[in-house]
Amino acid sequence: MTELTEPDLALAARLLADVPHHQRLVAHRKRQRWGSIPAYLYSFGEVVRLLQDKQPALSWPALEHWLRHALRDVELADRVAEIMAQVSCEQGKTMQIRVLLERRLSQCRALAPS
Amino acid sequence: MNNGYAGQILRIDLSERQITTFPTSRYADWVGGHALSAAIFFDLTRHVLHEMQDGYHPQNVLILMTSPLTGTLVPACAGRIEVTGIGVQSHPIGWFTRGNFGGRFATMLKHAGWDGIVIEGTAATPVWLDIRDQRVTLRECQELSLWGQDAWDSQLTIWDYVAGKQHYGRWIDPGGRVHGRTTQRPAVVTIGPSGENVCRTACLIHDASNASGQGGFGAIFGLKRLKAISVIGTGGVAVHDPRALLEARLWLKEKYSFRLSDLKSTDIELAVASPPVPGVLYGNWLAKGPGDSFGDRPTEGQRPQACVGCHAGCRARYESGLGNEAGCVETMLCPDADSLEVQRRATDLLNRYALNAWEMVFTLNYIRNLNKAGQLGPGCVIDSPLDFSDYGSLAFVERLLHMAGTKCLPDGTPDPFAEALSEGAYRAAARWGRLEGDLRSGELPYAHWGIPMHFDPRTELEWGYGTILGDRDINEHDFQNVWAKASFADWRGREPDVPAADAVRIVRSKMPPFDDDPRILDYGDHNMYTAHMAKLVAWHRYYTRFWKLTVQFCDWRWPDFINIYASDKTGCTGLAEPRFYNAVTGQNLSYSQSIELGRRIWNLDHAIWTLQGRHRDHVRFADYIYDVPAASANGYRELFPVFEDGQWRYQTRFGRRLDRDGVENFKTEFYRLQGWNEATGYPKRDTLEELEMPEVADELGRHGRLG
Repeated sequence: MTELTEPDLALAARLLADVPHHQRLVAHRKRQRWGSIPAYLYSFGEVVRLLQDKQPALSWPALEHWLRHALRDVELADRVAEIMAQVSCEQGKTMQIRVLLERRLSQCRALAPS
Repeated sequence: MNNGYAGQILRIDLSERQITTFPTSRYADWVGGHALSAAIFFDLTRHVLHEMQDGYHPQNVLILMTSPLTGTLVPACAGRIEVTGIGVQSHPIGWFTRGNFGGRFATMLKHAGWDGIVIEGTAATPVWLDIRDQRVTLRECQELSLWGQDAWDSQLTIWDYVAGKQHYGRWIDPGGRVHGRTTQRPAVVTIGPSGENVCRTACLIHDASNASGQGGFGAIFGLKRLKAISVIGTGGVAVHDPRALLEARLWLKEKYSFRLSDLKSTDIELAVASPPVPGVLYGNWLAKGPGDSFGDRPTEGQRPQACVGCHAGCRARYESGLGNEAGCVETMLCPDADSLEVQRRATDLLNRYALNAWEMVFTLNYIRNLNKAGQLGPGCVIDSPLDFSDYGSLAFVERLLHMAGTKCLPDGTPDPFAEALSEGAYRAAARWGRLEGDLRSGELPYAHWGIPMHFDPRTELEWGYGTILGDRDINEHDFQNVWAKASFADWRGREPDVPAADAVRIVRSKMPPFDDDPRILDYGDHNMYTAHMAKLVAWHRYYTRFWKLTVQFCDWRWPDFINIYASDKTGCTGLAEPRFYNAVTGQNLSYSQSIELGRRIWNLDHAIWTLQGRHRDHVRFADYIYDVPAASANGYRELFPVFEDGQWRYQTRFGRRLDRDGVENFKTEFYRLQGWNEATGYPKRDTLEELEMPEVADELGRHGRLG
């Protein structure tokens, strides 16, 4: 996987801040037996945490759209789109997107540790 | 009555402080558990059922009932007890409903010589019930300062009182020397602060984390001023053919259970095949441990913990003591918590307050969204003192649960927002004037009867229909388990263990009398409202009414439709249940007869709901189920069998919504199949008489509710 470009401070700040209610991303936490609990995600960090869940469920196109338009991280959105197109297994897709987003989150936190 | 039965049932009148008994044989036709409870409930309340719209009715009767298999070592069955009465959770009517819980209580009750407990009336002052074999005493809470203690402390207090403070494992004489001796502690079921404060979200707790959650029975205990029931018994349970029972256990182990030398799954395996794995569902705590692999359970020292008689050990006790015995929904109150430790402590707090975990999960989601939308908070339209600035911390969880469980602020001041929380999100939304709009949008995902959605009715059809035709979230994973296996394989990019056509064939073969219907398991859009679907829903009601609710087979382990260890992947359901049942009772019950008995129980329940006021028009989903498509999801996708183009395939049904006219068609098909009036949903006399319930038909006739 090629490295992500370092985000600028403005992008990092956007990614570390909460989005307003109307821009939240709705996903689900799932388990066998558990059922489907809606997960309402208000920040990039919360999305990463959801993807660290055992069996997260969310719409990849919705994630890509959210990254591109709500957070305006075009590079990350493009990379998610690449994974969507290239990886067929949902678990593999989830893990690759998770790693990618974790990396972006680390970059942002390094820039704006507060 | 012998062979599985203690033979007598306790009847406690709290108003008169009277303790009487009656023989279980009076209700021999009703076997045990839910069926026996429903029959007793009907007899005791038939004259007032038409006015019992809510569990707070003073003549509400609460019944705890074991089954003949309780305490007998029948695997994943022998340790559960049914709780039945009018609930306070459902809306618009508090239906006659049920819960159950596992652990040691049911077995102890049988060992003390009782099949069940019927609780009537209201005590003048808080009391607890002390059962030591045949010695039964109503005691004042005051002498132990029990009222006001949380659900764990109250159990510890009662343990010390009954068994003394001596070292665990020492012999005690709980009933005096005329009775037997035991090394066990009493089994106690109790309420916490939420029950004492008559919160609709209150549940019953036994030991660390056995909960009877749905129905709000903790509030009924609180209203009746009954803090706890303690039981310790030194007897046993007579088994008709002990050799046959042990042979059945060994047969199950040999043919259908996991082999350490050949483990086929180390995930939570959902049938009788599983190794002991704690069924905890903690959230994404790996955020704090980079480099860890996927997982959701503590890795510290632990040992499996099981209900009496169960081979599965689906819970654990931990070195740290955090989250002991917890599993399933109570472990996921705070998936966004700062750490796994916070999540485990939140689980323990839920149990101490004895709050309904499922309700609290959805309530927290709902109020957080309102807070984010600027609608809820200090000075907002919904004026709330709850501070979300430390959301995810233990302090936040403590404040939330304290408010929901006491109706007060942490300083003890009564607070209208806290009182709203204690009612659950559905009624809170009504108070705040948001109910209709939020049900229409799905912002409040309460699909039926004012209860949070579990599996989505738009996709998991039998779950949704079963719930609106019943009284509560069915929480019966029978078919869901089968489809979940395929979903899990799909998630991992593998072929399913059993292809759709084979899975459908195997499952259908275990569904008498509908096993000749080739379309009964078709979840396709073309089959959502048909007579085939009505049969699926009906069979599910019958099987679970008998085997799970009445005989008390555990939902986490039964039925065993598909089994990855069986030679042909065909599970033991249909063979195993009657085999165990007959070994204990000495009866010769066939599997088909058991399903027919389930139909009888289902019809009695439906008659009770009808007497309470149930009409066909009540039976509907919240608006969002019709108006908003099921969420489109990638990642973990739920698959269902669909018959298309001449073959069975597993497919996702996301994006689907239910059609109002279609659901009405389904109801007509279902009522026709049941022999109920298609216009009203009222039972017909012919149907009830065929099921040998003429007195039920008479009662319905008296109230103009015969179809």
